[in-house]
Amino acid sequence: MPFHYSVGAPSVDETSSLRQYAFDMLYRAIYDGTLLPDEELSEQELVTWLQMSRQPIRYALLHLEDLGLVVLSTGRSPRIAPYDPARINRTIHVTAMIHTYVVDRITGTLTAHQRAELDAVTASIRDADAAEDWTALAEGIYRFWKVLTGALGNELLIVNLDRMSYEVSRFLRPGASLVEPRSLAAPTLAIGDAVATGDRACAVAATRALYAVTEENFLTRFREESP
Amino acid sequence: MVPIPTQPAPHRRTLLTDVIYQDLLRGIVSGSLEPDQVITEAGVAAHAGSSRAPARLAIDRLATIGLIEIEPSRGTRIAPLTTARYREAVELLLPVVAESTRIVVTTGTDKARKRLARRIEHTAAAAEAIAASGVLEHTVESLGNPRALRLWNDVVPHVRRMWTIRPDSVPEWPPGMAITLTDAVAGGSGEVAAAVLADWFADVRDGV
Repeated sequence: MPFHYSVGAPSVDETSSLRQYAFDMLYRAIYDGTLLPDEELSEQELVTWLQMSRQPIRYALLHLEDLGLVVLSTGRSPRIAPYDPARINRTIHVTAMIHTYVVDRITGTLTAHQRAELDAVTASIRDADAAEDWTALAEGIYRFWKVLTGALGNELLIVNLDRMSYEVSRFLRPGASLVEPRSLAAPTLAIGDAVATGDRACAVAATRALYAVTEENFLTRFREESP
Repeated sequence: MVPIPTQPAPHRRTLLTDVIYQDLLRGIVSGSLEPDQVITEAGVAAHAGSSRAPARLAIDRLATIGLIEIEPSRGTRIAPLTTARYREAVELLLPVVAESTRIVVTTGTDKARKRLARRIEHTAAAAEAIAASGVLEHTVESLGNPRALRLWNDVVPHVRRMWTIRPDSVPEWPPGMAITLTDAVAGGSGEVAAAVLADWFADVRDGV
């Protein structure tokens, strides 16, 4: 996953490639749990592992910090961001707002091609659920939202959702602390079915249902008090 | 006795990056850094009196939010000013503002709602509404979700920039709409208030 988003392709000089590689490797390790929440990173170990100098590694760490995956403090080693339920809830809450809007806008407007894509991805979610393949299910849910947001065609919206998903997806893996993907299958399919039949009110209601717990938790536990 | 800080000090380079970031952002929104203008890491660093690393990071962060573009063939430039990108920004702000309004108005105390209603009454123009001190940002802040506020801060510069550089693009802030909104807020009708703002943003998005 690229760490800068610009309308054109990112710069491809060697320094950027090293940073990109370091970023990708670190992100993957955080995502799949090789690097655990709160784990301290030794710069020397990173240099050995990634086989590059400290500069591009530091750079990748700064970007990971910007995405909420790493914590950098003066005088301390970099740490993998801890499991922070408040932060995750708030990020999903914002995702929920945008997803609800997307569903409201695109239901009833899909082209034949978009319908076909939607059918394919909902089929893959059903298959993964039936086979209890939770990794495939998580992948299917990710692709489901890609199809819907793609139908809206708002690049800025997609880019901002992607940034938020960096923080959240590491904890949505099967076996990680947060929601189990299996519990998302039925609600996601309900949205897909409503979108496929063009029933906007139903699709929006189904999206709200998917995120009802998130909103409830936000309001009761994770909302910051106003000054 | 020297007080022991209870929080680790923020990374020093991050603070300098933030200063450079805000500086570049101001320039981009005001148009003093023009659309498509070439910028260089070295130039930004020299201007800030910093090393290149914090300049590079600030530039990259602005690229992440779409205000700077980095392309192999064209180098690093201030993003073009396009209606398409502006409308995307308006569209993305719509659900954030609407949902913030719905929750803030539905759950707000009498006092908080009255305060918000007064702010709306004192908002006479769209530019005021989306300004840093304006009613819309205040509403998103009042939601109490820092991630939502961050999204607002990442996206609203696209709108401010368009309205600053092309003043003819600034939409109406219809007095009738403002009255309906004020009444809904004062009366605690979160859904109605949210719908009024959503409709306004939709009109701006569609260039109505």
